[in-house]
Amino acid sequence: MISVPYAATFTGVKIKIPDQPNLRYAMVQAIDYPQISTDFYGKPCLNTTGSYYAFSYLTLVYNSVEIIHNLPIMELKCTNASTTTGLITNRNINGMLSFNGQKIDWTKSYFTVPASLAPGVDSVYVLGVWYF
Amino acid sequence: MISGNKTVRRFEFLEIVVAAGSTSAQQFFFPDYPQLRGAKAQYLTAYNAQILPVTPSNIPTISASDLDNGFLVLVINDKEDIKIPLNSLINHGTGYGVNSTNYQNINGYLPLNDLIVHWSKSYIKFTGVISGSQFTIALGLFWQPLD
Repeated sequence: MISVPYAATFTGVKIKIPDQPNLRYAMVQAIDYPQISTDFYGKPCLNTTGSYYAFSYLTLVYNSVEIIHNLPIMELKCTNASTTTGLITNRNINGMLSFNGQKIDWTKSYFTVPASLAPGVDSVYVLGVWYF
Repeated sequence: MISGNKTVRRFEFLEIVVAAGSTSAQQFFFPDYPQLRGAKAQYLTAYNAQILPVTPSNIPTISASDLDNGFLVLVINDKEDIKIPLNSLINHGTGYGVNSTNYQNINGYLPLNDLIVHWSKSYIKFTGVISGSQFTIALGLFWQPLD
């Protein structure tokens, strides 16, 4: 899993993904957006609140080309929906998004939001990356 | 767990902006996407405001009710070969924050089997009254270059 920081005071619309040493030159098999409220280090996630993930888009760069451009984060959510009002989490029925082993340049990749999310506290996006 | 043969090479978020005051008498054409000229289309999906409230351009996404009145026409080899209801392209069952329900196609993404779509000739039309305010028709296209 990778955590991408989103500062509480950030007002921009482009959130760059920091260097991921374990993923340099890694061949990506699949990516998903886990249904978690805190990341591995206890940081609040933007993963469970619809007003964050429904407004976020992902761009991935491979060989200096934006091969994935403005992919709605919704396409990466695979967790089944709850039936309780207010706890609905969307689910893409197509399952995890599979890749052909592309070596993503994470430092050039980024999230985009139409307007600042204003999460109130320092938060993170978390992506689940399957690779070899 | 990993969706077998639906591997991704490229993805593009397609937007058609419908101006305020537009009516269903009009056809709404895709803008030119230079990177998609001659590209092979693999899979197509659509979004409404319950899934994505606004697009990256910060324009409201089409409402579920307007989308249900919409039809997509894809032009391949100068023929209108594909005409399909927009809500057949929805892959997300519910809205993100409310207990709303979308028509969800259980077959998943629409497979286009590497068709070369002439996007600037393709369009969307509506058969009922549409919202009078500005909105965006939003589609997601998985594609690969013509190698």
